[in-house]
Amino acid sequence: MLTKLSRHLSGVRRPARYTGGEVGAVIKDKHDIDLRVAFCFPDTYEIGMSCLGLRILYDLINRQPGIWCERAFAPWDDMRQVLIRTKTPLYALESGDGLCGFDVLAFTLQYEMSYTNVLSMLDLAGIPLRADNRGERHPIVIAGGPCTFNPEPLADFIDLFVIGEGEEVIIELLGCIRTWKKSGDSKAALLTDVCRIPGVYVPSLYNVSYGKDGLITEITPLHGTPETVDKRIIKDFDSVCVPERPIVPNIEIVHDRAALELFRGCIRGCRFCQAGFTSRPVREKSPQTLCRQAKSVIENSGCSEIGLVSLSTSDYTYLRPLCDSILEWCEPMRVSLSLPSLRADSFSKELLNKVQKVRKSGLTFAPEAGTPRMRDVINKNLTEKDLMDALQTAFLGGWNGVKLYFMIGLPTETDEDVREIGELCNRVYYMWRQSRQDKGRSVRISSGASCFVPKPHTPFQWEPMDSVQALRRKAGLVKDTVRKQITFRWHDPLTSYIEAVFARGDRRLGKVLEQAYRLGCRMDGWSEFFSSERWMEAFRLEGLDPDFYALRRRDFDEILPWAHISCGVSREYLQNECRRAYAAQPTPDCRSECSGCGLGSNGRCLNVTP
Amino acid sequence: MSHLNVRLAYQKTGRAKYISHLDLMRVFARAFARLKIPLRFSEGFNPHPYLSIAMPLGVGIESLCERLDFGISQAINIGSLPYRLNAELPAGIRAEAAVIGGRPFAQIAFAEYKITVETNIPPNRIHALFTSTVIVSKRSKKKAPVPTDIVPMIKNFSCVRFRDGIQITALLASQNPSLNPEYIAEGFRQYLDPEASFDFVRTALFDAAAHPFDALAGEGNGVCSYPPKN
Repeated sequence: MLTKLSRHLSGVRRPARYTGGEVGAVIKDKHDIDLRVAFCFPDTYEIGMSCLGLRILYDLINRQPGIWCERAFAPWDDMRQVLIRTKTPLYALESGDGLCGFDVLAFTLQYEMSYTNVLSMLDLAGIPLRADNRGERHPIVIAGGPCTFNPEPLADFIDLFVIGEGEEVIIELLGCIRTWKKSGDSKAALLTDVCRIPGVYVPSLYNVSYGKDGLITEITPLHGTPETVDKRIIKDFDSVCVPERPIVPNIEIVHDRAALELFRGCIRGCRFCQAGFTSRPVREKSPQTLCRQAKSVIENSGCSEIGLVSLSTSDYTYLRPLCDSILEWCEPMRVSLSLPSLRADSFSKELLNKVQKVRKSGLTFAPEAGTPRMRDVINKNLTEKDLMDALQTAFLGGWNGVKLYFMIGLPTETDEDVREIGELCNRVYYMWRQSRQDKGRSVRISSGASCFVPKPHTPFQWEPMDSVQALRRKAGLVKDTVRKQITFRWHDPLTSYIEAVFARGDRRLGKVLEQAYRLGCRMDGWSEFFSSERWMEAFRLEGLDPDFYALRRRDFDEILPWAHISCGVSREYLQNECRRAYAAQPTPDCRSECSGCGLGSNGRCLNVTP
Repeated sequence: MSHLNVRLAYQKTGRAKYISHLDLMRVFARAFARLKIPLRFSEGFNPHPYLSIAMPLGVGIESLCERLDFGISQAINIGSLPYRLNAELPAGIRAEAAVIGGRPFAQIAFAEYKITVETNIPPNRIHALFTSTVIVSKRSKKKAPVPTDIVPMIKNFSCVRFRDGIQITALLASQNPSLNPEYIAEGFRQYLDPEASFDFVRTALFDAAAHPFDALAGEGNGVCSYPPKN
């Protein structure tokens, strides 16, 4: 493959994205292999290689004798054109073999705006996009990842989805596919067989009917398939391994550091956050395991930074002792510690000193909203005093820069709430002026606002999104309020609007997705490629109204497109949380008080006894 | 603490030719870290290991004679280093020899390149061109490209028929001023054949007296043969 492409690779940006050959890439002898899997990441190499899920599953699948898991990424447009011009099918990096010859293509869906890249990758591989156009010899196309909690917009293209955490179910599933391959049975037989594996969702085995008003009237399981698909979780999270021989990319990737996952789930329940609900319950690794794994990931990767990752790192029960014991050997090795997703209310001088032991990293907080009322609506449970105290500690400690993240377009938001985002940034600036250590240095306060996109399985899943015009006006309000010393950036509402359509879309959107792809949409998460006009044209051609999906308020009793996909959190709980949001009533975190989300009563929460 | 300087000779061939200079520095730093080589680090807010590669290669150019210098803070077994390192380096990077010390990189004056060209132009025409005057627009740091005659920077130039094309062997000035072999290609396309395509391999390093720069591995002293086996 590479010999064929070598003439062209020098002409594309960052050609090392397409060559493989990294230390840690797994090469197996094809003669010993009876199942070939390509882990497909529908974005660039640099994004994909930063994904912890890819690294965990790649390692896990390749531990299976007889199965070879390789990687494929979405090529940048220059390379895409080279592949088309040279009639080279999209290939996996390890063997250089075209994806069409694989048994299984496993996509990960991290972000709605990567959906067109899924189609693009299938197309570049020479594989029909629609599942029902694929024959018995084509690969089985599967997908997992956070977006599969509403898999419906991709139902036409994917043979089966894996809902929830993949470590166990992927091995069970690949085992079934392996047996099926030997049996010579039809693909239909395989699909009706594997839909009985908990966490496996076969969209073609469900019929969705719609009323005249466009609302779903019924979701019917066919051939006795389960009525609801329950997500999978790893009960014993402490047993999840880290790769012993991690892939060391030859080029700089987005998160160029070793990552150590502290826990899954989140105790907080911020009402806008999908992961906060779908990844429940909280499961921590023991500090002993983490110490051992921290050492192993650093020694085996050679990275000079280790990031302790989770949905809210400061909520890890043993964070301080863990940091201390990691730093004990990190420091002499010049390995720095980074703690992303810190909450301002748990930020202390002690923690600050830990993160700057070897290298000073950036400091980022996410107050999410400008007023206490708004933060109560979204259940952020963070006071301005907490934030200011944390920043004072940081500025007194010599920091001269901070990033602040906010959202605009939240439910019940008023202009006052929006302006207060700007005012809060200004107060941060005044705080810096009072507490700065070095009078000669200037401050870098950059604040960013993203547009709130209502997501499935959250208390805001019934909420309308703000219109593009409203979001632009609100971003303008913040911009007019902040002082000139503060950099204020905001997300393009047009991209968020399309994201909102697909986040809560149904399977009728499949034809829009295909049309948009045919019109040239791909790499939609990249502003240089995103084209709102092309998307609107695709909706127009397919006769679907995007406002129906993005801007419409749903009734609590509407059948939502993901009604048959369960993350274990009950509908009643989400409705109750939504009502509490309207009343600006916070809900305590899981550790302080069980709020009865539904996992406990099912016996699936490990922190409460039903 | 006293420091020792180590010089590593390595090849960069095959798909490794697409790894850029900066990325390669990181690849080495991480390989050394995995082998627990006691690298010498800079002091200060952002400690980094002292690594220095002689005459950074452009992306897409192969080399049989790369040199990397790095500092160590404790003695290590130099003899086994290339072997241990090779298990930790990506496909196409091959460590060949390591020694303590070495001549300063500043004494490298010329580098030899083998340039394989797919073209129908006969060798005598090519030779005639590159021994007369070849004006190409030469880029330099932060300055606009300047039309420059590259022939004075070509110390030796020969070309022979090779497979379906031509193989050029050229000895190019490497420091003050230096000539990137891509300019040979540029001149070739401009004056002879706009369709020609090129493969570059740096094969040996020489000092100002045109003697081999060092006795480490490289084609200059007969250790390697061309084309490299991948």
